[in-house]
This record gives sequence, structure tokens and C-alpha cells, in this order.
Amino acid sequence: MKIKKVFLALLIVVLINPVLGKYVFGSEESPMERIKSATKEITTILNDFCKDPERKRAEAVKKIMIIADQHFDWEEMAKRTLARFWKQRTPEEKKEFTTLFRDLLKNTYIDKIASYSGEEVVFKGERTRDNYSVVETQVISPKRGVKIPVNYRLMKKGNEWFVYDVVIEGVSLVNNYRAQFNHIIQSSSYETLVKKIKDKLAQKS
Amino acid sequence: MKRSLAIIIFITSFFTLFILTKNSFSSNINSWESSNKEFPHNKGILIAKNYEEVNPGEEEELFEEEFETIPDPFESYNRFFFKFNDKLYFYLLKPVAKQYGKVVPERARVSIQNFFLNLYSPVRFINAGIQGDKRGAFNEFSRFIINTTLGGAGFFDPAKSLFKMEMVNEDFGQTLGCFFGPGFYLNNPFQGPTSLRDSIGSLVDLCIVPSIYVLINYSYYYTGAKVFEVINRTSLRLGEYEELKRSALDPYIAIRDAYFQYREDLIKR
Repeated sequence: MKIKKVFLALLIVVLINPVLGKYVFGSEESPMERIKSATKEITTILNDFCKDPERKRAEAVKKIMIIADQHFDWEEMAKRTLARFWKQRTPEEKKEFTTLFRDLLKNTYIDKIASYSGEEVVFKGERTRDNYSVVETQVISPKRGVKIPVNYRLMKKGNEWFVYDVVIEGVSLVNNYRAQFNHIIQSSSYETLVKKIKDKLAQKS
Repeated sequence: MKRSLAIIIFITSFFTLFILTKNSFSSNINSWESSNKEFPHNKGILIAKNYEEVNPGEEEELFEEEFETIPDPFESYNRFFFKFNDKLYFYLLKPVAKQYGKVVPERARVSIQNFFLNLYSPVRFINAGIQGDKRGAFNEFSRFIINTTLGGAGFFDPAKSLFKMEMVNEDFGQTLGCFFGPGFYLNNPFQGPTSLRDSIGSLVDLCIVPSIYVLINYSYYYTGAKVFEVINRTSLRLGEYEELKRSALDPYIAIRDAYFQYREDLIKR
């Protein structure tokens, strides 16, 4: 009897105590916390990179991509860019396209690390509803004081939040790529789109 | 004579707007249908249908994805002048702006931009007023007074640095956006991306500022100032266009969509 009571008390404590609860049921970061920690990590990498841009470039790119892979849901993004054409793809095609899309973003945005000049990120707030969330931030460039609103759209998968879209000055990345992909598929074919992405990737490396 | 010309421009632009945007609502759906011919079941509420197809059962108002695009009935015209503007940028504007940027220090260029931005303050003030944004209108009015006096004719921005007053981005295109859709996309020579609604909007804005009288009376000076403003602005934004182009598979579509999304977002705010 006594053991049962102790066990019950322990269970209640575990359930109520958020710290213990977190420990037992796995961590659950809020969307904003997740973006904040990622931003912090990337800022450290970028500051480190700035000390020796030539030698540390490859290392910085690698590290940033590890963080990006942890926080971005590439498949969700790829799916949303293809929209209704996603359904017509075979599982292999879906997988291939997801990798291509990830590499496309990597190649185009990784060049930007060279233009990093101590930008500051201000967190404005988050709006969460069920399994969706928007985290609003502002990127402030120290040189001219220009403020650029950057919003992250996140989706809850399992216990964690993943970014599925980035909205910069009101322009959604996913929507912008979807407009292009849709146009290419409609005016020619899905195969042409894949070829175009591959050509673009070959150009870069 | 000159004043009547301004009034005529003002009135005709209103009329064309009224007639054209009335049609544009129906053409909006038509163009969607024609581009979705292979999906006959998608007629009608295409946006919602598409959304359901991708994410069955996810109808979140707050996080609803927009599948809207801007109609582009003059794509071949637009693409032609997109190429034209592209060449114009790389062969003329960019080299000039680069040289100019080497001679004039960045601080001075930012000040010059502030000066031009301050000149357009009445436009932002009036449009915020028409839209019923009292705070925005008050903000712009105070900014104009502060920056014109304390800020040395607008070259400096003490309203922002001392009084923490941010610029309110408003224009007549956005005012019209409260009532009308964008109509269709246009990419004009020299001007770049715009829409039917926004080009009418900028025409009206031209009438709001005293610049229409400068334009008519001293057209040489006006053109000169405009060219100078563009060079100055470009010198501060070198590389942005290149980056946009590099990240795109079809730069024309990427810029068309970015312009559409950007404007719709400004109107919503």
C-alpha cells in the first residue's frame, strides 16, 4: 500500500513539475526558443568565420548546414513548392527532389555568409495555433540601421518544431519557388525542372 | 493650362482604374482557369482547392498558405522589357553607380537618400490619412516637420534616431489596394516591376507632391534629379538584384512573384 502511494506521489510530481516532466517526456522547446538557439549557434559560427574567412569557409558551411538540417523540414518545403505536382511523383522522385531543393537553397544562400557584418536579430514574438507557428524577427544591419522583417513558419512534427517557410519582407520563399516551379512544369515538364535545378547546381560547384 | 493638365491626368487615371479593375477581377479567375486546364475539377475556388490537395484537413486561417499569383496577360511584352532593364542595369546603371559609390562616401549617399525620402513624405502622409491610419499620418507629418528643420532639409533623420519614429511606407497604390486587386503585372522600360494598380497609384502620387509642377515647369531638372536619385539608390543596393537573380531558376517569374507578394503584404499591414 505504502509503496503504491509513494509511486503515485512520484508520478504526480513528475507530471506537474515542468523541469522533471521535460526530462522524462523529452524536451519540448517552443518555436521561438528553437529559432533563438539556432540563431545563436549560427551567429557564433559566423563570428568565428569572420576571423579567418578564407580558411574557415568550408568548415563554417558544414556547421551551418548541420544546424539547418536540424531545424528545416526539407521534405515539407519541397512538397509545398511542388504543390499539386507533388502528388504525381513517385517516392523516389520525391526523395530526389527534396535533396535537390535542399542543395539549391544551400548553394544560393551559403554565398551570403561572406556578406555577414555583425547583423543583429531581434525577436518580436510568436503566434502559435495547434501545430503551426509563426516566429517574427527583425534583422538589423549595424551599418545602415536597415531593419528587415524575417518571419519563420514552423510546423510541429512529433515533439519538435521544424521550419517549413521563411518570409522575408512579406515574400515567402516557398511561395516564390512554387511560382517558378509551377511555371516551368506547366510550360514544359517536371523533368525539365529537375534538369534546370541540376544545371544550376553544376554551375555553382 | 498646366494646372488643367494635371487635373486631366488625375481624372483619367481614376477612370481607367475603375474600368480596368472591374474587369480584372473576372480576368483573375479566367487566367487561373486557363493555366489549370488540365485540372478541370479545380474550377471555381482554386486557391482553397489547391491548398486542400497539398494538406488535407489543414485549414488554418492564421497559417493559410496563399496560392495566389498575379495575372500576367502581357507576358511577352513584360519579358522583353525585363531583358531590356536587365541589360540596362548591367551595362549602364551598375557601372555608373559603382564609380559614383567610389567617389562619394557611403554616409553622404545615405544622407542624399534621406533627402529624397523626406521629399516624398507628403505622399506617405496623405495616403496614411486616406486609409484612416491616424497614427501613421501623424507620424509622417511629425517626421516631415522634424527632418525638414532639425534634419537639415531632410539630409538627416533625427525623427528616427532621436524620437524613434519609423517611416510609414504608404503610397496611393496601397490605398487603392484596400479596394482593388493588382489588376495585372507590368514590367515597364526603366521603371521595372509594377502592376496596373500600382502604376496608376504612382501617377496619382505624382500629383500629390508638388513634383508635378516641377515636372511640367522644369522637366530637365526633374529628370536630372530623378536619374541622380536612382544612381544614388542603386549605389547603396548593389548586389541585391544579382543575388535575387542567382537564387532563381526563372528570374522573371521570381521577381514578378516577389513584387506581388511584397506589395500584397504592404497592403495587409
